[in-house]
Amino acid sequence: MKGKGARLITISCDGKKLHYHFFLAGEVKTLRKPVKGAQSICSLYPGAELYEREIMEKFGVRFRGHPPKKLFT
Amino acid sequence: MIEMPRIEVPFGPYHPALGEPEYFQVVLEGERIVAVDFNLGYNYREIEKHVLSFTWPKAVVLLGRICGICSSAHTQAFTMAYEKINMIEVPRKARFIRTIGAELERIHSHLLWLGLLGDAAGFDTLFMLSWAAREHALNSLERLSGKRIHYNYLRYGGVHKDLTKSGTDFLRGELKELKKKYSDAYEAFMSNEALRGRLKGVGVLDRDKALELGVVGPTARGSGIKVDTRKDAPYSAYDEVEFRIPTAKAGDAYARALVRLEEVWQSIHIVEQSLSLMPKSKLPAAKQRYASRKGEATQVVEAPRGENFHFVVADTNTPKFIRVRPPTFANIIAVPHMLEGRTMSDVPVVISSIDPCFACTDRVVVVDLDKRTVKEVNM
Repeated sequence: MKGKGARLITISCDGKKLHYHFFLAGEVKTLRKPVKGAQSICSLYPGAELYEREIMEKFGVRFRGHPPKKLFT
Repeated sequence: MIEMPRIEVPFGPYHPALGEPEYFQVVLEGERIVAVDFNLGYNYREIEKHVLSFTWPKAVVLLGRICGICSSAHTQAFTMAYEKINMIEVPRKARFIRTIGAELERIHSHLLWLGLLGDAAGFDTLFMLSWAAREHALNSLERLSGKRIHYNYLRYGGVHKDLTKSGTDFLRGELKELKKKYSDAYEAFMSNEALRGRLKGVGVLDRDKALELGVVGPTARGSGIKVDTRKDAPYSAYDEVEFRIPTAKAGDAYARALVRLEEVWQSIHIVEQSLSLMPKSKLPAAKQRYASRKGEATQVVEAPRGENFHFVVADTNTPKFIRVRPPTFANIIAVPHMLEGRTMSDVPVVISSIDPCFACTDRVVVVDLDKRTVKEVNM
């Protein structure tokens, strides 16, 4: 997605799946990944930091490779 | 060289120079800001979860309450997602009325921001002038929807009432007054050297950084990125009206201000065009819908502060899952970058330059950008 020049809109999580929403060529494209074994995309999209953090705190999902920050609990 | 001690200064959650409750932690070395952390969540209401127990007609009302300023943007995104799922065609006149509502909202939001900027900078003439102009946008919204704020005028498949000839004439009259008064406010802003000096070069966000962080709306356009959902993925009647997207290259607070000021002119232009292009035929009020097909849809609309995103998964009687990404949530991450190397006095200016809306944004998040200054904050 990054290679195609897509802009990350946000990441949604419904507890089971992660939905990565991108804006590409006038459309919203959604990629789906399982919550288990989630990888952080902060190195590709630094703006994803807040979205991942929100999901970490709401759903207890761990993103591998997420910048080490203190959780607000 | 004398080594300066590090001082952590809390800014908020309740601070005279901060309109809404939010906590910023500013780390200073002498006068210079070396790091900024922020903590969201003081306004958190969990609407995304709460709405799942609401029936469809009630859900749209609640989602309008996410924010008092971009009420139309939220209801519009949600309504359009529902219409996508149920494949509902919206009448042409209703699409124009939605466009008028959205643009009047943009005008009133930008004028509100301009007034607050003037007030924060001690330039109360600008505050008075811009809020006097804003009054006409609010009057127009009242005529269009019945309310001045939280104008819940959208229904699935249309709008809740028609805009008749007398309504159109009223809006034209209000726009004429608005233009006259806005010209004064515009002139007051442009001719004020002190205000320009206060904003120029402050809170610079260069183009590359803005692209990297994925900021949206006037914050992105002030850094020279031509991104606007109204042009990139036209909705309502935006493909039928002519307008341009103002951008500025400097990326500082002044550039963002100029973009917003120019956007007001463009919005007035859009409303004028919509009023004349709108079909003259009668538009019946859209009937209330209580059920939906099962499915999911995404929708982006351009709120006054940037792109507003809704992801809706529908069940028959209620929404099943909703995700709202308001524009400030995408923009707030740029604030620490804008503030680095500046002084404490620039903090309110820079924060207000992204025109943050914390009511939209709030969720339980802590961001600590500087590992050495990690601190737990109890709510």
